[in-house]
Amino acid sequence: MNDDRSKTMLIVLGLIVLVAVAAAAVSDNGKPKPVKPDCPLCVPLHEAPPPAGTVRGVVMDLPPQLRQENWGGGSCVHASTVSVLRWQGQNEMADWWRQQYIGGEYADRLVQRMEAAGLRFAYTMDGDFEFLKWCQRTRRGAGIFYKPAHAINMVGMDSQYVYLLDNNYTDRPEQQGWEAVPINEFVSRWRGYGGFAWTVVYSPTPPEPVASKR
Amino acid sequence: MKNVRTITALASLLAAAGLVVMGVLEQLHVDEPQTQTPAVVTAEPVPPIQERVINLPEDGGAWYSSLVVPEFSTRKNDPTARRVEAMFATNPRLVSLLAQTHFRRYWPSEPMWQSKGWAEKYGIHAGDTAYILQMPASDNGYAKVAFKLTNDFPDTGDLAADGNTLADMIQRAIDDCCPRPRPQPEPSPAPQPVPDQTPNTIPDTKPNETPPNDEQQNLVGLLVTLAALAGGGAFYKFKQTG
Repeated sequence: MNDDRSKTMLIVLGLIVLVAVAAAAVSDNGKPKPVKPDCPLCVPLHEAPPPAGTVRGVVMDLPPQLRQENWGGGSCVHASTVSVLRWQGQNEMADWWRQQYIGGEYADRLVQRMEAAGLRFAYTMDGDFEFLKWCQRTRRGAGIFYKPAHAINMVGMDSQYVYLLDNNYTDRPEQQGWEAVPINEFVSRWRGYGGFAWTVVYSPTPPEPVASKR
Repeated sequence: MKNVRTITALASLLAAAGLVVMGVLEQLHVDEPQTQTPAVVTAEPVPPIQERVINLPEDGGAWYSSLVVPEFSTRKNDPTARRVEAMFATNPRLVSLLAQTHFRRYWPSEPMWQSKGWAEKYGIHAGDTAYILQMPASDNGYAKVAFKLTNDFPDTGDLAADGNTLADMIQRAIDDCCPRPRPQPEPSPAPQPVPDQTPNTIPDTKPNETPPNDEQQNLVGLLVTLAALAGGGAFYKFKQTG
């Protein structure tokens, strides 16, 4: 009788062990282990103060050295194009464009020249403000016909203003702050100047880094 | 008593058989070949003439990948830099990661890298090879760094050990640092100004995985039930004989 009870107990214990092993094998079937709360690879960076001239809403934040100044007494369209190219990492094309073109430009010929250069580009010729909003959303910036017989860059916008970079005054952000125009006024003027805006479609420069808060 | 022994013996046999079957299934799962087709990342493709972009990409929520390499003059003789660049060009998961992000390469004299002073901000020295993954910019215009790894990072070993190892490290950093979007409540009245609804496209380096085999789950359930029945029957008889 006692032998029967012992054997029965052993069998029951063996079953329990088998079930436990089977459950463990299935539950740990190649799934990743939970990560530790702290992330050793999220290297903390020092919290840098905002760079001089940084304004919320400015996304095409070219450093002063890379803002293309107007040249030849009237190459504003090309200067705006060069700035956009540099912002989106097309440095070689920017340098080539700077050397290749000089003087005045108009919308149709600019489009032809961008096509001939094999660029990926987008534009509006009828003052479609949604296009500029897309440029802002995707942090690409744009060149625009703005001010009399002039072309500059749209570098950002927020709920109230559109921010501009004029290639005749590239250090204005450091001197006086970004040129800001109320949105309704900007749209009205821009359309009055023809409503032409263009950009290239490549990868924009990354934003300024900040440490991951842990 | 004979019935109890028969039942328990049968349950034990079934449990053992189930373990063998599960072991075989697990091996089949591990050995399944990767189905993701690798794509080689090249430099910016040369676009054809007349490539005006009609369908504007809504990639404002994309993350940013930056691969930092030494100057060309030293890079060609730097085994770490060459190996890391090769990994990002050939490992399917890393290729996929770059394709999901805005990808840029930098070196010490690259104009934007130099002008922005990022070498100092990131603590990356000339001659280092590094990979940086950033989230999209927040409202203040800054972007959190989700992952940064250089070849001289002290605690993580060799940056260029293995493409899949690096992809695993990046994926853990993504999962740990950056929670995926969750369903948002719809407050009434709507907040003003309307918050930015640009989707945050969190990249993913996970390889294609076969969905969990439901049959395995059912088998475990069956084994547990059988074992419970056998154990219960044995215990009942045990109490009776006792």
